[in-house]
Amino acid sequence: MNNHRVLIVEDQPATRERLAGIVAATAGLELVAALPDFGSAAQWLESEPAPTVMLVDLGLPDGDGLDLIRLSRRLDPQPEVMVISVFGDERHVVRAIEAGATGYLLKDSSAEEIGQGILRLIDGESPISSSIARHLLRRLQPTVQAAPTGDGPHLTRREHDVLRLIAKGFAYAEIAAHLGMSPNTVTSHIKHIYRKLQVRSRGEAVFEAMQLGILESPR
Amino acid sequence: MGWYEFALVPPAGTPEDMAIYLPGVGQNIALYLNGEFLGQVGEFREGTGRHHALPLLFPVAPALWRSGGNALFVLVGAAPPSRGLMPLPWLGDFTPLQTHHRIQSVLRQGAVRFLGIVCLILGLVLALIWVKRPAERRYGWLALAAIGWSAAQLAVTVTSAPLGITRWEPLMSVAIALTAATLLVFAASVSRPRGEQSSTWVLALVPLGALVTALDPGGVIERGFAGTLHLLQALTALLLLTAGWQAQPGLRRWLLLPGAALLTAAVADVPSLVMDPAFHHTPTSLLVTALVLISFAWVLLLRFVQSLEMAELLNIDLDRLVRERTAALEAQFRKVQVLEREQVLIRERERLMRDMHDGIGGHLVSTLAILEQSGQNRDAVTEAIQGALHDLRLMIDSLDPVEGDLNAVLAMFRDRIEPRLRAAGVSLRWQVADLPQLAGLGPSAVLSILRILQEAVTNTLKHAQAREIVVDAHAEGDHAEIVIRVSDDGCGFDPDAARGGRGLGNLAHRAEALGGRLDIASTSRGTRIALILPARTTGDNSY
Repeated sequence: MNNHRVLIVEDQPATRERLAGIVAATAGLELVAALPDFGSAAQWLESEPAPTVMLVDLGLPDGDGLDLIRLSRRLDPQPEVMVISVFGDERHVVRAIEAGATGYLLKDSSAEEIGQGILRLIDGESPISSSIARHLLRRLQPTVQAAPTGDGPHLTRREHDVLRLIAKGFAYAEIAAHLGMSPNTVTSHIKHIYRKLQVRSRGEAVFEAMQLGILESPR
Repeated sequence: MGWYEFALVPPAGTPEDMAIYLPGVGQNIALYLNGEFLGQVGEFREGTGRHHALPLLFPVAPALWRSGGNALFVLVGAAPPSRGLMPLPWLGDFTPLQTHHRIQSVLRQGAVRFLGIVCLILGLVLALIWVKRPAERRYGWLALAAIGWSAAQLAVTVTSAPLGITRWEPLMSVAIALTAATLLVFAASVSRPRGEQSSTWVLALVPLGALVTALDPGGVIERGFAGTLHLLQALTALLLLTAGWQAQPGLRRWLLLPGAALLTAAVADVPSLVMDPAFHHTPTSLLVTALVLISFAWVLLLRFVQSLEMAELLNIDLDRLVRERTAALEAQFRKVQVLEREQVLIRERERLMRDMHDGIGGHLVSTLAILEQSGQNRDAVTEAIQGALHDLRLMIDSLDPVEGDLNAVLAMFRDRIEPRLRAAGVSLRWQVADLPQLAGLGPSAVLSILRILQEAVTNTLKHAQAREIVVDAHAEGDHAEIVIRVSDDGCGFDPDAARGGRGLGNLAHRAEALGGRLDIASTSRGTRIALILPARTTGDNSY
C-alpha cells in the first residue's frame, strides 16, 4: 500500500496536533512530519524526499509561510501545497496560490472534511470559494480571440465560464451540468487556473521551464 | 489770354540782383521786362497748368534795367478766365525774396505734401480699424475726413492736372466737401448723443461739390459753395467747442483746442473768401485743418491702443483670478475630501465596533457564562465558540467588495453554510436566479443580509430536525423587490410565540434597517423565512 506522505507546518501546538491526528487517522495518508516553524520545515524539505502534500500555515514565528511554499516549489514542483487558514479569505488564499499553493483548508473544519479535502487535492481537485473565484476573475483577463494581449496570464473561455459560475455560488456538479461537461473537467479547469496564477513573472517562468526540463540550465 | 502791364521804378543807381516774386498764379503766366522774356510757367494750352500753390521767383539781370521807365508785361492764360488768378508781383532784392520764396515753397508744397501723406496714412489706419469694427463709426467719419483732406491737398500741389483742369477741379471740390462734411458729422457725433444721425444730411454736399464746380468754374455758385463749406467749418468748430465745454477734464482740451483753432482759421479766412475772386483756402486754414485731423486721429488711435492694453490687462487679471479661484476650489475640495475620508473612517469604525459588539462580543460573553455556570458543558461551549467564529467569518466576508452583486453575497453565504449542512447531514437545494444589481450594497448591508440568512439556517439546524434546506432567490414585482427565502422541511414552530424571543426580533429589526422586511411562515411541515429587499436601495447607501 503506497500511502501519500503528508508534511504539516503549523506553529500552534493544538492545531498541529489535531491536524497530525486527523492525517494519521485518515486511510491513504501518512504523516511524515509535523513541524512548528519555518527553519525546521526548510531544513526538512532540503534533506528529506519531497512529500505528496504539505499543509502550511502562513503566519509562522520565524518566517513567511509564502516563502516556504516557494521553496518547496523550487525544490520539487510535484508536492501539492495546502494553506491552513482560519477564514479562507481571498487575501490570504490568493497570495498563497500565487506562491504555488494548490488548495486551502479551514482550521475549524471537521476531521472528516480535512481528511477528505487532502485526499481530493491529491486526486486533482482544488478547493475554491466564490469570493476567491470572484477575485481571480478580476485578476485574470479572458483570452481575447487567438491573440493574448498584456503580460498577465489569460483564461480560456471555458475557464472563465467556470470561474463565473463559482463566483455566483454554483456547486461543481451544477456547473458541470450547466456547461455540459463532467465534474472532473470542472475540477481540472480550476487546477489549471491555479497553475496559471502561479507563474507570475518572466523570471519565474524561466525558472519553471528549467525545472520542467524545457530549458537547459546555464550551468 | 490777357496782358497786364506794370510800370516799374527801380531804386536809384544800377540795381543789381533784383528779382520778381509771384505768390502763385491760376494757370499759365509769362513775364517780359522791357520786351525781354523773363520766364514762364504753364504751357499756354487749353486746360493745363495749376500754380496757385506754387510760389514763383524770376531773377532780373541788371542789364535789363533801363534808366527812366521800365515796363513789365505779364501774359496770363486761363480757361475759364475766372481761373486766371494774377496776384500782385513783388519787386525787390534777390536775396530776401529768394528766402521768402524758399519758405513759401516749403510751406505750400513740402509741408502740404508731408501733412497730406501723414493724413493719408492715419486715414487708412482709421479706415482699417473701422472696417474691422463697423460699429465704431467715428473711426469711419474721421478716416473719410483725413483721406478727403489729404486727397484735396495732394491734388492742390499737382501743377499739371492729369485729367485736365476741367475734370481735376471738380474732384478737388468733392474731396474738400467730403472733408468738411465728414468732419462736421464727426464733431456732431462727439458733441451730442444723436448728433451723428441728425447731421448726416451734410454728406449730400459732397456730390454737389462736383456738380457746382463743373457747372460754374470759378463763378458765383462755386464761391457760394465754398462759402457753405466755410460755414460748415465754423459749425464744426462750434460743435467741438460745445462738446469740449461739456466733456470730462481729460478730454476737454482735445476738443476745445481744435475747435478754437478751426474757428480762428475760419474767421481769418473770411476776408479772402469775400475778396478773392478765385477763393482757395489760405495756408493757415489748411494747416489748421490738417493739425486738427491729425490730433483727432491721434486721440482715436491712442484710445484704440489703450483699449487693447486694457483688454490685455483685463485678460491677465482674469487669468490670475481664474487661477486663484481654481486653487481655492482645489484646496476646499481637498479639505472636503479629507473631512469625508475622516467621516467614512469614523462611521466605519463605529460600524465595526457595533458589529463586533453585536456578534463576536456577544458570543464570547455567552461562552464565558456557560463556562462559569456548568463546568462540563462541552457541547454548549463548542457551539458558542463556533458561533463566534461563524460571525467573525461573516464580518470578514462582508468586507469583500461585491459591487452591488447580491449573487456574490449569496455565494459567500453558500460557501459558509455548506460544510455545516454536510456535517449535520442536511441537504441543500440551491435555487438562486440572476438578481438585479443592488445600489448601495456596502459592508454593513452585506453583513446584515448574511447574518439574517445564517441565523435562519442556524435556527433550522438547532431546532427543526430538517432533512433539506432550500435557498431560493428571485426578483419580484417587475424587479421592484428581491425575495431571498430559506425554507426547511422541519417540524416548524409558532411564530407568534417565538417572536418575543431575541433571535427572531433581531432578524426583523435588521431587515427593517435594510429598508426591507422579514416574512416568517411556519407549519408542522416546515418553516419559511423570506427576506424581502427593495431593489433600489437598502437603506445603507454609503458603506
